[in-house]
Amino acid sequence: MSPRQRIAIIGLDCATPDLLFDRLAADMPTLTALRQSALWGPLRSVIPPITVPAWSCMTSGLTPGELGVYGFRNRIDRSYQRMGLASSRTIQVPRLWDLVTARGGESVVIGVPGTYPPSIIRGHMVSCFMAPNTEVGFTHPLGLRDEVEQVTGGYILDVADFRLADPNETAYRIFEMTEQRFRLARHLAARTSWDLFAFVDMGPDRLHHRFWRYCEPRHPRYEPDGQFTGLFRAYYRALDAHLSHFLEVLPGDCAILVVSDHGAQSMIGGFCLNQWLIEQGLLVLTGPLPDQPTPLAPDRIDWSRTVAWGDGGYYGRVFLNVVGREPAGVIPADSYEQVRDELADALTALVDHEGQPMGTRVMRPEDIYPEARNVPPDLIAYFGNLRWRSVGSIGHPRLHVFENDTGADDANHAELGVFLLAGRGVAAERRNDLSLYDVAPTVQAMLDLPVPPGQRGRVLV
Amino acid sequence: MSRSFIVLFDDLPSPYSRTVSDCVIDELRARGEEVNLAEGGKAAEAGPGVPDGEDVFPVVTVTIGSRAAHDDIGVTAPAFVDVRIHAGAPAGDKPDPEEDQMLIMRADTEPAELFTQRVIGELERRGLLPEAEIYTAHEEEEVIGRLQALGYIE
Repeated sequence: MSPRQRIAIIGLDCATPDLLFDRLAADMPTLTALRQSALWGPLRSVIPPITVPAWSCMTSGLTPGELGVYGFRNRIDRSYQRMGLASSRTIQVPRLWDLVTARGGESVVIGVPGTYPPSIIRGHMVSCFMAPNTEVGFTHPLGLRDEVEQVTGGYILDVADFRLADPNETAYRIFEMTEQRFRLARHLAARTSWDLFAFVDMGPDRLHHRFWRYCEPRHPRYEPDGQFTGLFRAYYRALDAHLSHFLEVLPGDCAILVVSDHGAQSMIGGFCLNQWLIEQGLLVLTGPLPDQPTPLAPDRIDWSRTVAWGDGGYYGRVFLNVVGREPAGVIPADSYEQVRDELADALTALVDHEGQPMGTRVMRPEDIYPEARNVPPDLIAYFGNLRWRSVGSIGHPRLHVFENDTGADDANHAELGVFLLAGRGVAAERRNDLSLYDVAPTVQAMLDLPVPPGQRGRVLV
Repeated sequence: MSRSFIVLFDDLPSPYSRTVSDCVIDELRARGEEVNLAEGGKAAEAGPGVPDGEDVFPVVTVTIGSRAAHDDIGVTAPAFVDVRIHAGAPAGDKPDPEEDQMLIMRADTEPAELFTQRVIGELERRGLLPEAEIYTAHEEEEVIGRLQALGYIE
């Protein structure tokens, strides 16, 4: 790979343009100064804007449908029971570090979601928070683990007891994890040889989900004078200082890309998707509706009378029970489109807890992906355009709920993340048309890597 | 079906091909596979667990050789290691370069660990080696619990 152009990708999961480019810009002098010579702007994420698959889409240039990954856990087959966690092996296409390896270059990859178990690359990889613990082989080469442990004093995969711990403790752990990521990044950037350096800090995402009500005046439970009101400013100041120290160890010819996979917005509450399907007569249980929130296990469903069921998470996945496709399908194949259209219309027309239109968006995989591999949902639903999360459990007192049984959650994902690229030959410019799919083609062009087939993004430099 | 693997050194092994062989052997054994070793193309003498003369049997031969050039397969790199994966044929048969069942991969300067992973991946791709489990049941529960707490899944 000569002449040598290097690039360092600094991933900030869930970082929002509103905070980084506007409200906290004065608290982030390093990032703000970097912007003066950068191509930057809001970055439109993928559908769905979820950490897995978004980082893999960014680093492969392909859609979730082409990757066959629609979230952290996906149906393995058309049975009702089998679900599998998405792992690095699920990604069957080359990502940027694979291209660098094939080209004979070296990469350092730290904490990029979708990298457990770690891939064998030229260079070094510390896999992501999908590693069960640090006793397993979460690094490549394996021997890197000892170095990681030594440098970090005990590597933090993720914030422990995220929702259940005392919020002071959670805040401390988020700061600690971010400091540790940057410390490790700084160490490996200085010690190793690389062409591509890519690391992701999950700190912003954890901060937003846990404490968003303290920074967002439009949050329904906004606390302007709460104990954690100054937390965001303190966190992003610290992050900016870490960024500054990291940039100090980068070689002078290195391009810098600061990027996020999605943004954040206030979460109003949760919409009980399966309970609504039950009320519509589309989902039938084998027994009575439980009187308290209960996970909807497959054996609770009378599949011979069920038309549709859904999955919970930051967005809704709706599956139809189709004759000849699902084991006990009830929708004849020739009625599939009609049933799906009617269900999409009903979801789109949902109202919120005050009887106002929720503004729900419903999408069909074939309309948004050129290909939908593995087992895609039949419908993708953004309740209130992601201002409401999807609740899959049943037995709630009403369809709209405001308590999460796993603990407080203040934020949902939003479609706009951040993009900032500085380096040789990059013209300083603000743009509003940036897409997550542009990242891989741009990095490939800068590193003179081959272009894998199927990419839809643009080369931005 | 349980398989026996023969890891076979072909021609004159270089330090590099020895390293690759060691890595392949370690990986196969770590996965609980039976591995027999042989040198010089004598798969039939590879030891216990190698059936003789059956039409189809669960033996996979991984031949690792190092050569200066290999004109018969059109590779003329100054130095490389080749790996042949030979399955489902009588032990001792010489792999036929024309047959699809044989794989030859160049190593050149590729790190041995990376090259090994490609060998293992090819064995998996051909269904000759089950993919290693990513998580134990306990580990999967641990990760699912974490993802639930984070709100990604329910």
